[in-house]
Amino acid sequence: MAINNNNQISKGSNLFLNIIFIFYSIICVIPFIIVVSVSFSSESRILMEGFGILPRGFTTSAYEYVFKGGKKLLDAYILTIINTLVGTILSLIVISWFAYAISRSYLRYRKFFTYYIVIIMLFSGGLVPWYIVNSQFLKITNTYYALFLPYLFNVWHVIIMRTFYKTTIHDSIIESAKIDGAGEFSIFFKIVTPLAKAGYATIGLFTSLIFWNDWWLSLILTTDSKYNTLQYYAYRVLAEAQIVNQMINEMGSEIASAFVKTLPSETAKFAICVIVIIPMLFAYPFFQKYFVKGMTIGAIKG
Amino acid sequence: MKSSTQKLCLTSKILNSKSKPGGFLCDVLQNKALYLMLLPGTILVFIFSYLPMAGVMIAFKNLKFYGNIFQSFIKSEWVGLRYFNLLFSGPNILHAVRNTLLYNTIFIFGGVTLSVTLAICLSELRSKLLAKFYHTLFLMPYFFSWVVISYFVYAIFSIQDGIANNILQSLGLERRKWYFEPGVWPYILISAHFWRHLGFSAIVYLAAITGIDQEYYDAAQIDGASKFQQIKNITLPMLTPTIVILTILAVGRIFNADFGLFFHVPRNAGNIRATTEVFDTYVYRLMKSGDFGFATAANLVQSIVGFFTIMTANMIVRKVEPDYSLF
Repeated sequence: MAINNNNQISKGSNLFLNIIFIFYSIICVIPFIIVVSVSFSSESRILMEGFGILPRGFTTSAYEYVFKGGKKLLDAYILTIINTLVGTILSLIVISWFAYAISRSYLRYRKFFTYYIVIIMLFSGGLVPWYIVNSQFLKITNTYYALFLPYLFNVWHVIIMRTFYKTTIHDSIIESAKIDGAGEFSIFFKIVTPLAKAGYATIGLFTSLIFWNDWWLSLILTTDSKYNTLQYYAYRVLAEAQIVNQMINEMGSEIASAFVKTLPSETAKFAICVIVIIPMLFAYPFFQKYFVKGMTIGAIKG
Repeated sequence: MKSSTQKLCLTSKILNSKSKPGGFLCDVLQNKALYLMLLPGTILVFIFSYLPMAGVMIAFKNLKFYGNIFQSFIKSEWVGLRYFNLLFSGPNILHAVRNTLLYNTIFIFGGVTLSVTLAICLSELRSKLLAKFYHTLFLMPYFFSWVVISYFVYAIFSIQDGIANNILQSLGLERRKWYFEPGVWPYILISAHFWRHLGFSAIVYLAAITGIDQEYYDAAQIDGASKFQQIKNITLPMLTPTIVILTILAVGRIFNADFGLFFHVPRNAGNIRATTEVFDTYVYRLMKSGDFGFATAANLVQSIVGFFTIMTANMIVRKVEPDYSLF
């Protein structure tokens, strides 16, 4: 074995790992490539030859179809964008405040509040009581509140934020500010917030990913299609197509034909999928950097 | 010069030296702003997490709706343990329980093995730039929602147009009705889970690895240890606390399945429920069909068993190596 000064693995092992990693990278990316290719293919060729890695008969007709008739998609898009913004900002406020309070060692009852939020990770009331609280007690089913309120508080995010505060803002800074006569809130806004910006960026990105990808709240708490988030709309496109296919199988194509006409074609479905994914891909490079940092802190300290 | 709140606290301390109310009110008065900051979170947690806990009583009643929720609750018939008995004798539930446990066991133990291996291999790569590049790609699937991934799975396994059937056909083999065959879905679902989560779970271990002091490795190299020996004797032991904690947490949730995965990827196809139904989808379908008591009973069992599992796991670890336990 050749001696290497840097204590690195052998060139042979390195090559082996690289090959495996390239292979795995392709696996990570290929499904997305297939979907994009099919979305740019001609429907007739797809029906004949099936899906492929490369577009079959390059055309943008699927996208034209979606953009022309896509009011529901646009509505879902706008709704999800607004919901993500509102939800992320509100969640940041709630979480940063709570985490800051329990990070201050001069708060006598901070242990109580920490246990208060940790216990809910161990035991939960379940789906039905949660649904009943939302529908009968809060009465937010089929309202816009249902799309962000349940997600505003997140225990993991609080723990990560608390760690950020503890390690970046020592009580001594707060002490000296208090001696200078500043009130707690002005301390928070003028001193703490600028220092904890990295933490806010991390939690903000985590939270916006959760809101952007959410379909659960639309599924459980709403029935009106105007409350469909983007992902839920994508789910419905596929689900409704399947129901119609079942109808065809069971009742014959004459009865089902009226419904079939309203269905998007295979290429259109995939075009919708691509449109749903695109914003995430643009934001991805930013996410990756803060994600890794946030997970690191959260995992090590949490 | 003592402030008025401080004087108040002192007085109440003298009068009620042992009573908590004095102490708590004191703290609130002294740290008014902090408690104000705690308020929104406390209320939200109370409404969305603690109130539902009280709702487990629904598991003992045949819930019918009479006007508002309180009236409904009081007027509904008390059925005691009926739903729990039904739970343990219903045919479908056995599938759901078995599937949940099997899938989660594979996810937890396979997941740890694969992500630790991935993290170690990535960190040992000669080119750090390449390692970062690969990791970026491995992480990407995590950002797709299960709905989007269900489209991907559809692209591959669609019976008419899917890639899988095309490949089979070009190899001269028979096309298969994927969404009708229960037997293949464990493979598909497990692959989908790892495809999405491996890059993400590796982050934690990668961070832990970079935290290991380089001097250990230098000393080991001087002593003539091979790479394998170094990994076995330095990296793995240093990762063990993290591995144990994450595994205990995961084991506590062994009865809770990833609803998104099992609901979206199989696309609700009825024929494959034998291998794709898990506890959470089972409870969801119960709720959709109005079986509130039954659904709540199922969730309650899930929570209680999960609680015992995590406590047992923690106890076992504490006996073996006290430093690694969670509590």
